[in-house]
Amino acid sequence: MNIKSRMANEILIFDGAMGTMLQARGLPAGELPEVWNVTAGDVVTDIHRAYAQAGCHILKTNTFGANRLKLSGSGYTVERVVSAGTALAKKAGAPYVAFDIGPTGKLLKPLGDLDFEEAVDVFAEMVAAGTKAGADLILIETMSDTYEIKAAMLAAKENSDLPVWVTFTPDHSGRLLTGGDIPAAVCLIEGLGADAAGFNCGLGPLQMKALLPELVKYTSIPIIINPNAGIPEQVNGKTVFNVTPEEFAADMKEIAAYAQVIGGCCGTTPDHIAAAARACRGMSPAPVTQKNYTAVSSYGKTVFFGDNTVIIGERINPTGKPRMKQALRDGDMEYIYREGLDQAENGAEILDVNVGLPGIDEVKVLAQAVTGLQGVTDTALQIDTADLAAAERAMRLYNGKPLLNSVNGKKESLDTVLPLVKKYGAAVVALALDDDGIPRTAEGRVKIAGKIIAAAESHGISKKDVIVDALTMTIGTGGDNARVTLEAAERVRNELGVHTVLGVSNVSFGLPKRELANAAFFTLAMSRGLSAAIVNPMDSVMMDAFYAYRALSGADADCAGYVGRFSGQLSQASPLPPAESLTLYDAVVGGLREQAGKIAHSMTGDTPPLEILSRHLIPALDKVGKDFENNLIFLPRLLMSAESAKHAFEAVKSYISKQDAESEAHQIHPKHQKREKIVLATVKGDIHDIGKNIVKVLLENYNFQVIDLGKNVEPALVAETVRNEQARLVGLSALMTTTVSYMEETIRLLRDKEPDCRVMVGGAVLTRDYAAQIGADFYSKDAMGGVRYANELFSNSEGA
Amino acid sequence: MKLTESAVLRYLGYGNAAAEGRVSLLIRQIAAELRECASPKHLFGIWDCRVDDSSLALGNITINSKRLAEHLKGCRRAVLLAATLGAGADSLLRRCGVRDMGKAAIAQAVCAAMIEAYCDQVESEILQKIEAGLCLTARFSPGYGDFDLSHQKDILRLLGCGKIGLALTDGYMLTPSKSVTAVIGLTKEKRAAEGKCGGCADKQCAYREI
Repeated sequence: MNIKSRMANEILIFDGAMGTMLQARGLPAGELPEVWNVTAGDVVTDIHRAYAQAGCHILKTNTFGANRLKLSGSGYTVERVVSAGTALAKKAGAPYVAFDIGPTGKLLKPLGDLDFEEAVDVFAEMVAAGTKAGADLILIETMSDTYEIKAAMLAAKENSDLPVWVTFTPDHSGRLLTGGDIPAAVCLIEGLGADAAGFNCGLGPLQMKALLPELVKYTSIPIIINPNAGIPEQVNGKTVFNVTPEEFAADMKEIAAYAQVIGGCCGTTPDHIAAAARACRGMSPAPVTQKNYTAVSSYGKTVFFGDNTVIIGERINPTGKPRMKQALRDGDMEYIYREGLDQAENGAEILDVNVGLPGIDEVKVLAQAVTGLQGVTDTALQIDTADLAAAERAMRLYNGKPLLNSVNGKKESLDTVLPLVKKYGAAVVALALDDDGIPRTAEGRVKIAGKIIAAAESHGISKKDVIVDALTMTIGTGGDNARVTLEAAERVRNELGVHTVLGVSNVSFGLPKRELANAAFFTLAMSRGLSAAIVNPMDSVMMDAFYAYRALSGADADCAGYVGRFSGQLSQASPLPPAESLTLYDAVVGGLREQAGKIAHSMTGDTPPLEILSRHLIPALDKVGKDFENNLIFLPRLLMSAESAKHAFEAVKSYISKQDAESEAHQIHPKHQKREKIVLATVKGDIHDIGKNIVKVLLENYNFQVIDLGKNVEPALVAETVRNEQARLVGLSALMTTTVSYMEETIRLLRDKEPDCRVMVGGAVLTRDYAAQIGADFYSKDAMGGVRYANELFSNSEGA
Repeated sequence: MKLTESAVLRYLGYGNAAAEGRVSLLIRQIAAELRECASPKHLFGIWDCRVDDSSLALGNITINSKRLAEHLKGCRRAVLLAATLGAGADSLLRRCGVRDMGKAAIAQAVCAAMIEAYCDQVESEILQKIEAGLCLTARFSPGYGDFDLSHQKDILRLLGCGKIGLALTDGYMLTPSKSVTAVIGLTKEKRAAEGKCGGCADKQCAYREI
């Protein structure tokens, strides 16, 4: 019988542990169990048979770790281990065989060094082999990172038509090791098209039972629960599981009232499974119900649309922002990450990410922005692009259920965007416009919204994942515009039953005192049920309106949010001296970053940028640099000064960008001072990059243009960058002796390809002699030494 | 877990110098932030072992290292330990690095002090599990002296470190980055000069604990 129809009628039973059983049969701890598919197939078959006889319906193949990363060096290929393993399970006599896929054993970037696409490829190789070998379904299990779940699921969907079941491993509090909660994991798993989802490993039946209501609450597909036989304990050097078959069966029977599929993981035996199967015999499975909520997720958080208006931060968008444009052109991604962190701190639950700018490679830069942002914040992201390839790449690399901005009612948009939304399990913003433009009436916009929802459903996208933007038009061009938008948004919410979003600030375009009109419009929109608003969270008038509305509408229990926001403001005296009484030099030497920024900003009007740099910032930096080298101050203070100088510099840069934007408008092309470029990298194999980052901030203080290649950098990329950027100096860092060998390799390649380039090195295990031995031009024990070398190098060559 | 300011300052290169008030304040703030986002986890196992002049044999592995062999001289059993502050600590470090390198450097030191303090705490747990009267040698980790870093792989495999989310890069570095693996010997009597840094020959080390 087809497994899907069978699931509707009876509780399906998985087998129990394989590893535990193999160890009992002599597999040494730490050895690869999968290799026994080839070398001791009879033992594996015996275990499968024992489970089949215990009454389980689905056997898991002994292929959990049969990936090329774990098998490397074993002498066996993935294909061989997988096909042997699948064949052993198939002949054991259970009705179904699940092809088992466990984690790669490595961590994905940015936490580890495994590239996302490589992970997809590692899983794809397994999936192809398991499918070919004739499994009935694919079971992705023991996952503790949503990103790895995504890689495995994409591999499964792209390389097989088999049903895909996914179980992950929560801790006692329901969190994955990388921080995700249950709804975040479920959102992602369902979005990517799993046929069943649940928990396995890590916990015993009792602990899983406690987490089950949360899982049931959010899951609209069948649920699988495969616990361990309790929490493992170490007794006399051995791992022992304490839950007996009877206890196990009693808990599993209770679990089976909610879960459609049950079985076991570590420590469970055929006796556990037989007892559980007996206990659940004759039970009818709970019906699988659709849970009607709208949510998107990041790796660590779930954002629900509903009771409260969700704030979507709009600032990562170059339109009308010269400094952001400059940052994007310079590849200064950290500027973008800071914009993201600032907005998240000020109340954004989702960050809109738009990097569309003529002349930049949007596919690459958007992907960079998305992966970089999710490395520093667990705020969810809204991927905002009109470029299909960029949208696909970004949704693929996003660690969560993405929100895509946007699709509209034009046929071409529906035909091209919706398949991507479906494939990557996204929610999508639907703009109420079509080939005829934006309808002038609310009626017209509601109609287009209805059309988009129907099209989405025909692509298999649930309407709960469509969020309609009824389009804000400025009241400057039509007194009726705000009213029409509000009416359309309200009707979409009430009549079509989907969530809504508006870009609020458009409403006042071309008018004076925009913040007043914006805040009033925002309040009106919230009062009419707006689900989400794209606003600037740094704009206190908007956020004040948000908090006030929440308090007035009863959404803010005891006005706690309102009071929290406003009560502290009056008494919050600055603990630091006011900016007026300080010079820029003092602020930088004292490491007072806010003040340094303010003072520099106030100077930009009448002091030329270069003078601010050479007469104020550099002398201050020289002073702290000297104090550091004389042990008068220590690293934190040096860096506080560096950050203060950076803040001051940032004020100057904003001023220059603004001037440039204005002169561009007048068709004047200003000449920029040419800055020397320095390439920095933490070498291949090394992930410890704080030393490099410290050198970077100091070099930037001295107005060098630093091209930061990050960590774990291939030697070839260093050489290629030096050539493309015509850089004359490279700085390399490495922490351990093992990675110094890659440093040596990088230097060798640079000598060969770019003989004119100088190389300075630093890192914990390096010494002057060691550095000379691997061919570096300069070794520095600390960051200031690197700065001094760069300054000397370039001032000498200027004189020559 | 006992996290002291003096330990953090040592990692920041202060030696015995005192911290400025603002740095002290930041250390406290970051320590509080780290307690929020870190999820410390550990595994350990006790194995019978054989130690000769230049190697340690334990489970199905042999580690060739004179320094380690000397460190474990006379031990018949040894503990393998793996501990991590988890993914959240790395995320905090990246977040600080983007916004403020001063804070990032302090966060780095706070994390280092925290994982050490966590390992100390795990050691007291180990002491409770072994026979009364037995002592632990100091922790000895791969990458130190002639104990080759590639043995990280053996330790992770023997302990099954996937369970606590601990893995290796191609260059045998631990990920998440704020993690420790170590070998600890079980001895009958407490050894002299066994303080944290007492047994180390590098008297010039900036991080030496006196």
